[in-house]
Amino acid sequence: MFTRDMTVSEVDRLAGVTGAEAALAMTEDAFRAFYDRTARPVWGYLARLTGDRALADDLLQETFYRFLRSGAAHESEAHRRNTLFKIATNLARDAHRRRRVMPFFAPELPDVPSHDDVGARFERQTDVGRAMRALKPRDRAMLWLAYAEGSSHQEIAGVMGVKTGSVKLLLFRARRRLAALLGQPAAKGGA
Amino acid sequence: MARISCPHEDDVLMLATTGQWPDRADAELRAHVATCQVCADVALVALAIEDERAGTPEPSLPSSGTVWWRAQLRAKQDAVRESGRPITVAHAVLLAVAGGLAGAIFGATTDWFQRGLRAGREAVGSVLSNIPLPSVPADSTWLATYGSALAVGGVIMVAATAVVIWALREE
Repeated sequence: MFTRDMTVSEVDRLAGVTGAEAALAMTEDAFRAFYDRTARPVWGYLARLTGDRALADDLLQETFYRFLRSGAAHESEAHRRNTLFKIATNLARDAHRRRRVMPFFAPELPDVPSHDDVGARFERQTDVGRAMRALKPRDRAMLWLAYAEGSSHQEIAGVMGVKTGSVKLLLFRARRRLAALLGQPAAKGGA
Repeated sequence: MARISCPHEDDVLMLATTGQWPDRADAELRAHVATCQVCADVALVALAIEDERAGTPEPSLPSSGTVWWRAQLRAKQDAVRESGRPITVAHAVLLAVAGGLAGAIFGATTDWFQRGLRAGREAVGSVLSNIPLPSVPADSTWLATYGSALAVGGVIMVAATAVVIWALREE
């Protein structure tokens, strides 16, 4: 998805292209520092939205590429980060439209660590994964932004493309749905 | 009407996301959460998501250098693709118009082309006159008058359409 095979003549032509670097919005050092700070949370967000780790890998690179090519000026680190999450949200939405039937929020279960409380924790995570999977993608995205990323209502509105005034109500409803699902553990062996 | 927010929810959220809920919460706040649906939901959801996040296996992400290098490569590929794009729709339309004009001038100034057109028109007219078509009157001069113009126009339209389709496929 990110690159394709190139012929020798194409590589030769690329070598002669100048100005492509200038088309990217950041210097290499700035990009690398920004990537190191944000890649993991963005990947986690994409993995929750798409439910597909391989797709999240692809979308992560696409997200950073589009961010670099956007050329937009950012007032702050938070603004830059919000732009990144907005791009990621749009890409996940597009991927969802293309695939339609998508097992959202179904990354592989983590390996069981050897802690004393492993059983309880493992079961809790399984329940949370199951409950999240039952939510609408928008609810899932909002909850993740609010409670995993600590985004403000204004930031969530910017990322999700909704009015700031609507976020409180939308978040309340999403939270209510998840709380209700978490309060009703699925039957043993259920999906 | 149910409340959708509570003045204490930020305190609950802060404690839940920093791993301090419920142990570090004071008794008053714990008592409030026991009776407040909003705060109870915030605590439950925040703890669940925090747990889920903490339990996610570490992804093997490409290094920043690799992503930067790929972005550079792809930016160059895109630049080459854009600069090498052979024709745009505007170019195609311009080409079609120019082709049409050249064809019209050629048709109007070339004797053998006009003789050929006349012969073709007569041949078509004679064929049509032998076929009893209800929509074409037997004594119609319409075809004789406009037939050649129609033929040239048709050829130009077909050529222009073909050029536009070709250009769009290149896009």
